[in-house]
Amino acid sequence: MNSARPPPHKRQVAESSLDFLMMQVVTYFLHGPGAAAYVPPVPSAVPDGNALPPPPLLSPADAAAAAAETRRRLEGVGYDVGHRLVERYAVEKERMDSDLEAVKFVCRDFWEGVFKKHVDVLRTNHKGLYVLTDNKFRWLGRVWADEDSEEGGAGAVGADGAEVGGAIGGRGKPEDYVVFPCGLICGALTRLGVRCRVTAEIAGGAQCKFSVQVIGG
Amino acid sequence: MSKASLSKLGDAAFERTDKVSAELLALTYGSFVRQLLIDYEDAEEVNAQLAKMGYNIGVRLVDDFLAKSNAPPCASFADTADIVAKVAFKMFLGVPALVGSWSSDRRTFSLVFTDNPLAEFTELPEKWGGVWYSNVLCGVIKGALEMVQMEVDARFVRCTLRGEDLNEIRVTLLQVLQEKPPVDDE
Amino acid sequence: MAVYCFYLFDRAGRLLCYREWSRARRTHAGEDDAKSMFGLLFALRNFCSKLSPSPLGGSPKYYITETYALHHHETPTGLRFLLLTSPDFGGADISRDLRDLYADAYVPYVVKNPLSVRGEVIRVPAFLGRLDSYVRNLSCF
Repeated sequence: MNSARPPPHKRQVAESSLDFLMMQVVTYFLHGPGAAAYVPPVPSAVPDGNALPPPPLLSPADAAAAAAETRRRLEGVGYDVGHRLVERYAVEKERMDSDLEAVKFVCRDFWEGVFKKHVDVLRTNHKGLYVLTDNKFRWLGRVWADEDSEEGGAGAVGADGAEVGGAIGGRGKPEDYVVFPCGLICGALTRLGVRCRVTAEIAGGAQCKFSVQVIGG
Repeated sequence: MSKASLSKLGDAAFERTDKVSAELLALTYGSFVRQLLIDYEDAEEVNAQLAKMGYNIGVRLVDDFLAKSNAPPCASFADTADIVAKVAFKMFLGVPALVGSWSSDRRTFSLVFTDNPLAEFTELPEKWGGVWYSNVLCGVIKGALEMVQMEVDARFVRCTLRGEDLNEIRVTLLQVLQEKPPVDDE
Repeated sequence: MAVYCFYLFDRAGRLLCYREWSRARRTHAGEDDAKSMFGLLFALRNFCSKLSPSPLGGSPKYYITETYALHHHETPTGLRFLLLTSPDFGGADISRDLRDLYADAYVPYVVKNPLSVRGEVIRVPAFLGRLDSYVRNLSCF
């Protein structure tokens, strides 16, 4: 039916498909059943196969730990994807000789492949810290926060037509959408031989700074 | 509108849209499904969760589709089937589907496709034989059509990950939803 | 020629967005106004599609009175974009502009925005800004 189908590594899909999937993945882990499921203690059994039991009430410390855990899980999915994906961009490259080379590769080839541009600024303190600044981070380009001031508007939320099983626990925030990329970058770098920890900071609008701290070495 | 011109419409919509590598989508979906298998440990629950997520995608995606595809309005369920297969599948996944196996009452059809970008690099271990790996698609179809007033049931009946030579989703029209008049509270 | 106000309703009749530019007189206050607007629209649209020779319905593009015109665009997903203007808009197809507003503002800033929640009042500044510039760029503004 489609004889001119390109080879697997050249195939494309609509970016919208990934955007919509990502929304649901993030919601699942941070605000949906994936978050509820991971609040300690982990429910060991699912009573009648319908839904996971509601999470127990937590102390603030436990709640913070649970929130960190849900983020770690989402990051883990990103890590997994980055780890596998980087091979496809690095397939013809020699093994990187230095951390800097690996980081540069991620800033150019990998970034281009995933986020459709290069990192704008790369800085390092030469002690294992690399700061990657993307002035227009693609995955934040669709994330628009509300006005801060709540002006009373007409209209109320009803159950009718609402999304199901998703929006438990609020609407989320822009920071939710850089958790997965942190894992993605960490997974890619680790695969290239750089063990590291990656954190992100949104610097206003779609500008995002990723800090890569090399571990050990 | 003829099927050939719908195919052209689908090609044009895909051409116009921003794209990403199919691998990125497939790997992201695959890693996510793997996590669901760990979280739920039950094929039926994973299928249900995927369908639910798909539904949430569908209710949003339909507006993106309508705004960008230039698809003609549907006068019948048969039109809808063709538009989903020729235009929507192509626009979002880069590959069209075929419509076939209509039931005699014309309320059920099959969407058939061989290339599945979601499952490009996937093998399902035998213990997960009950999982419909791409079940999110059923949810998307259900959510999207519900927003245009068609309540449908959509379920996989064949999947290449189960060793079959193609993927098949059966879609049944349950009812055409009627608009409720606004409530008048005096 | 003046643009008075804008309404966006979803299928359930929830008012997702209301903006006004110059509205000399209010018929009702706030919520009542929206409610009667949606009711009117519902009846008008049903009536129009009953008269239609095609099964695809016949959603009105606008109606006009001596003192104002109401422009209307309805999406297949039941969103209703409405713009109230003075009657001297010169026959321009404002319903088309409302369709563009759906594609160029509602879809990118609301549908594709992961922080927006369906059925809630739209408070995204990017959407509201786009709406405002759309209206100000209308040939009839």
